[in-house]
Amino acid sequence: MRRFDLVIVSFVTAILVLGLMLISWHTVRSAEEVLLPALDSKAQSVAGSIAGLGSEAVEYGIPVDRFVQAEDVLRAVLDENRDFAFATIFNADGDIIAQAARGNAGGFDGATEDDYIMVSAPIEAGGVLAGDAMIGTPRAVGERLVRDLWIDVAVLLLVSVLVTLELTAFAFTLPSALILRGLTQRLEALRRGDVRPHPELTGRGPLAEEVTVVDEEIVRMREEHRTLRERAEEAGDREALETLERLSARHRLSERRELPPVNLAAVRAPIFLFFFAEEMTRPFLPSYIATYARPMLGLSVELVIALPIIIFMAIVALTQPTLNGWTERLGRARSLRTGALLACFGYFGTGFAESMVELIAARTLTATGFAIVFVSAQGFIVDRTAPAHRARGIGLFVSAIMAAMLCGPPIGGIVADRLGDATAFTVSAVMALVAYVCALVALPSDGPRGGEVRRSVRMSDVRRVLAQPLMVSLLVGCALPSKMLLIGLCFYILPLSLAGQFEPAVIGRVLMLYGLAMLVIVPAVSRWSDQASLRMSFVVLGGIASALSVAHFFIWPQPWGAALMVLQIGIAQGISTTPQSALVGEIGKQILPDLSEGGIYGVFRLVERMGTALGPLFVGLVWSFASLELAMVATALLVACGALTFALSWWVAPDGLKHTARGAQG
Amino acid sequence: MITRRTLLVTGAAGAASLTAPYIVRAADKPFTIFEITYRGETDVERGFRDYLDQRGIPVNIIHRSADLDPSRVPAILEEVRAAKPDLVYTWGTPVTLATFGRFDDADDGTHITDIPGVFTMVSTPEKAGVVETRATSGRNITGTSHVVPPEPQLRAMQAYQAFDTLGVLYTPTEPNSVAIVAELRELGPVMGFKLVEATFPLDGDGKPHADTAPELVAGLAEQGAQWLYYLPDTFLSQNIDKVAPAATALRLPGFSAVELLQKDALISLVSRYYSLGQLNGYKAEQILVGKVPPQDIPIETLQRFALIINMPLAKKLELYPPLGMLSYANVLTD
Repeated sequence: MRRFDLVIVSFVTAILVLGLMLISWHTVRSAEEVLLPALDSKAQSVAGSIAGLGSEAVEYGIPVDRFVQAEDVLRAVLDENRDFAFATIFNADGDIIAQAARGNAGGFDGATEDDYIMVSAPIEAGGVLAGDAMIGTPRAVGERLVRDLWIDVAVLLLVSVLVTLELTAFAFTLPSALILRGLTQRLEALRRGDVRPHPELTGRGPLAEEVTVVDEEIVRMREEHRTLRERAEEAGDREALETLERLSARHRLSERRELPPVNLAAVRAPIFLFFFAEEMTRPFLPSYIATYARPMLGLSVELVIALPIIIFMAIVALTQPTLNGWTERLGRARSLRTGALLACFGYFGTGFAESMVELIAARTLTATGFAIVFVSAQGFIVDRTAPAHRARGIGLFVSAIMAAMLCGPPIGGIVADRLGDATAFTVSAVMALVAYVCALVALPSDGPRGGEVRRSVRMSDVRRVLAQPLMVSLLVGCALPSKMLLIGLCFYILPLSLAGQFEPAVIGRVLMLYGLAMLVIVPAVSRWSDQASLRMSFVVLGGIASALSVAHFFIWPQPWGAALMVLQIGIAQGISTTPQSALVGEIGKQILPDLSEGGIYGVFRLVERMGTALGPLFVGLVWSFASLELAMVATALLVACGALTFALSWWVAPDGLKHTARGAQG
Repeated sequence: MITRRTLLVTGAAGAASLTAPYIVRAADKPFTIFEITYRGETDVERGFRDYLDQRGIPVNIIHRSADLDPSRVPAILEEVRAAKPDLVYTWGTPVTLATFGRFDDADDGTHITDIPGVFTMVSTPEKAGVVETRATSGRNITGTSHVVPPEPQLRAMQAYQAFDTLGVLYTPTEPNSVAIVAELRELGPVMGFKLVEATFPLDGDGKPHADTAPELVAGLAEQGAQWLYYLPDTFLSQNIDKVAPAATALRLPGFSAVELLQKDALISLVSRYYSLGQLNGYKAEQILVGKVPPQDIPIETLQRFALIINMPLAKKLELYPPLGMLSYANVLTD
């Protein structure tokens, strides 16, 4: 990052973090003051209502010792209030008449003031005390509430910083910021004594005038140097020529500035915001769908829940080749805006759907918008980068998605938790709308483009690539199941199975670990795997590690088991993702030299995306015919077998192939 | 492409469909409703009026009572024809039959056929011949029934005190009772109980008598009955003072499905008259404001019932209600 940007960004971030920390601290403190007494008064009011019922019975002439099925009443109270550990009814002598206790809590006997807050209310009739109703709340509940609040606040803080960084970077692409930065660049270059010309920068206002003055001065200086040099050459003044040469070398007077790639940062903010909108829905989407799901069209409930997810993924996977040409013709910026708007309506519709059919329709609309944005954003970058800078451009795109994967789930969870699922979808709709506005403001509109349209994946390419056993084992054995695992387990079955016990905020934090692991691991591994030429080992290791991750779910209590599982999947896929993609290109080049790299990658991406749709389908099928546990294990086995098959194919493949593949970039 | 406008329009239409199904005609002249009851005004009529009032439907109600004598109805019908009301309302099976006739035997001259009608408090509209099926009357009337179906009644008994044997004493000449007992026989295996039955003996003229009622109750108790089910049986209701004390003496709790026996049974599950009136009011609204033909409106009973606990009897039997039941039941005290 340039120094100017760095200073501004650090400054903004520092102010923001400081301010947020102050607000957070204040918020949690005042929440503590409100929450803990509220917990106490809730217990008090519930004890009061049990005592009220008891008093009513006593007034009717039922003695406290003859209360019938009082345990049922107490049990219902515990079921309604997850915070309470036990509820007890005593007679006037203090004997326990009825009691209900949760799980491992023993009830009133053995409960101490240190561990429990115990409140009671009198059962009385006509002013005579007949007994008591008591509620016991573990002191840990209050501590847990405050701890959860701190975690929520910390997540918000982290996400705010990330969002601010995105938006600051975005602000740099606005015309006034561009001029300011351009001027800074010029002055900094002059300070270093660098008088190479700068790329032209047009604008209005005093700053733009300054820029023009500097540029004109640089041109004049260079012109003067050239004239002096010509004169010295004519005069044959060797000494003067040497001095001029020294000056030229020191101040780079004869050099041209190598033009940096077109500024792509402008597309990053809309991408980030847009993917943020989708990622927000991850923690609660499956359980939200589940509330609508009834067996239909001969499908089991499990499959009906998976259906909108499968349809979404299938649309994104299958429409990409077609959309590439379509968005190119319509213009990337315009299609990106169209997609964002479609998705905006889609989220809105999802939040307010009244039936499964409406929900599927709304998700289909979202998927269409999502696919359009995905393809046009990628196309926008590819169109504007030379092959040499393309990897960097795509890196920009991928890192925006990863940042969204990190921020979206926890924020979505918190919103769904506090304001409900429908509001959370509305927030997603608003985010998509903001992405639309960002694109409208920042992306240069590009009309329909003439010339060649990059060709999409052809069936013949697919057939040719998949006729190669080594490629099959890499694509179908590794790439496909790893996406099946990610979508089928992390985005479908896991949020659904956790939803019974935990709030969306917790599920969001669990899912965030995937983005976090990817964000940390991918850059580290991409350097390392290149140097070590250990791509095959990384791919196999990643496969086995992500398969084994499922074990965490069964070993540890939730949500820790799920969290470790998601974290390990993130690490494992972070390890295998870059080497896998590199191997596809290298092996492809060796085995199918006449097929373009684009063709091979097209097939690779297609197979990979098929996995995203097949994952929930496979998991849903196994789940409806057997069990949730078996569905998880079966998916893991699929991933492990695929990885081992690839290892085996590699092992039997001709040596020459491996060496070239290994050394291609090493 | 979907525009914001179409979305807003769809949203608005959706919102409208959630609110009032019908829009009341504003500042129009009130509807005239002619009420004919069996024994003066009851809570049913109060619920009916309150419902229409709350919905903002202006009505002008003319009320006439048959004063326990259905033969007075034809004279009232003359008044109806003169008044030309928008709707005719009837209370109870005899008044309803006298007003609208049987479904297969209505006569334009004798009965009201050209004015829409709503009836209420008809316990078995099909068996009484008011309508052929509850789904549709097939003619210009609809209405409500007050009888609680047996299944919720049995569940209420189970909730108070679980049982596996249920006793029932009824009159073999009352078709309504025979039909309910047949239904109970079917429900037994499904809900897991045995039904033990006794019937009032008939004399030479085929008339039932209740002299042996205490022995019949004792017989049911000996067969293991844990509850005695009081059906909406007219003869049983008239002779409950011979039946209920015998059951109490044997510590056998009674259950009733009609409000009339709530002081004799330990618990009763009944349709509240007031709520029934409100349901009838809804049907009147559909006809008057919604312009729905009455034959398109099904005949219904309430879905929620009132549970009444007879606390003096509970104390006498030392059979107290579950604590939780007190939060939703109505309790009769001394």
